[in-house]
Amino acid sequence: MTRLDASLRIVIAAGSVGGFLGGWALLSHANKPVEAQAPAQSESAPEAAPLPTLAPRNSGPSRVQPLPNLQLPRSTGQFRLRTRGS
Amino acid sequence: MHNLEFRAMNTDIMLAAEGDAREVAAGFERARQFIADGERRLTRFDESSELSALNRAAGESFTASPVLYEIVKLAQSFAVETRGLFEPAVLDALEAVGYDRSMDELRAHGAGAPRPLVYAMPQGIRLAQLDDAARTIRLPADTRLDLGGIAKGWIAERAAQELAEYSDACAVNAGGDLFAIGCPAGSDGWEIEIEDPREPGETLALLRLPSGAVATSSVMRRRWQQGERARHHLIDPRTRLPAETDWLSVTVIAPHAAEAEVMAKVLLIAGSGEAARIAGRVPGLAFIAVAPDGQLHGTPPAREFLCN
Repeated sequence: MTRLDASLRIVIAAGSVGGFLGGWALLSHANKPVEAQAPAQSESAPEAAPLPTLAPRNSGPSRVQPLPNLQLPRSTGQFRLRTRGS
Repeated sequence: MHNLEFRAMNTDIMLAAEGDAREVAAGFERARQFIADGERRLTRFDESSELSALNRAAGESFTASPVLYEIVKLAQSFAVETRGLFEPAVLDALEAVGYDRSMDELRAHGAGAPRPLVYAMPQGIRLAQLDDAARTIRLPADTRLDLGGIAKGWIAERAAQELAEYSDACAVNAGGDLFAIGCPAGSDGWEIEIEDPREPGETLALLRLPSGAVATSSVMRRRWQQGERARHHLIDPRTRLPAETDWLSVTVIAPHAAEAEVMAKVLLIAGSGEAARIAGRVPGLAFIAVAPDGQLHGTPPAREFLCN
């Protein structure tokens, strides 16, 4: 390695470290972000929509649920079939 | 509406049809004959039936009639689809708990004595070898089939198809397994009462169905005492004993009667814990279960058929 190469490497490294340290110093003394202003009365803040709960495995169209014990309709006189265990 | 009632397959049969009276009468005769032929071929209570011959030939190749072959093949496919929860190879288990004679005889003379289970085949009918070209069936050795329920549903649907050629609308009801074709005149569907399994003769719910199949399985109707033990006919293939379930009955609405019959049994055995998951895998199927307190349970598709 020539003397010129070594010098350049030192300069570049020093510049990188110096830039990092300088930026860190700059940010550490920066002002904090301004608090969000209270919304005007005519505006309403959007509310976070509730996330849908994760459906349990046995949910959805295939979930067993109680069925209404319906009031049986009056007989229409129509012929009826009957199902039962045999 | 014309109707004809008689006994066959150890249960009450009703044929119902609309149309010209003479045509319907001819249709009734044809359907009745079809049912009688089916019973002769598929009953396990007659040693001369084709099913009995198949059972005796277990372990060997058996050339079956088109009817028996079709039903056995259908039964095998249901056993595969339900992962063994439907299993017709439970004859040994049924006989072991006393159901070794027809239900009529059992009620008249009592149940058979307890027998030990000689053979238990976990895979059952799923291991049967079927050859479509030769129409042969090879049951695993020592495997015997009871095709009672699935045969009843299959026969009901085929009998209805026979009757439909002589009528404008018809239905065949074989002990609660029914198949309807066409709508009664002036209506948008057949009215079908679901019997209260706790109170025979009482109606718990009413369905309206334009056409298709309805079947009900119940643990309340075919019950008997075997010594000091209360037994019923619905064998759980997993235990080979009468099923322990939290429902009294399940009614299934489906496109085909054999399917409705099989799934009614399967969902009743499965109970509230598994029925929805199993039923969800079958397109076009709805079910209504009855709990011991009389509350109806089911999945949303069932509401479509319940009357207000």
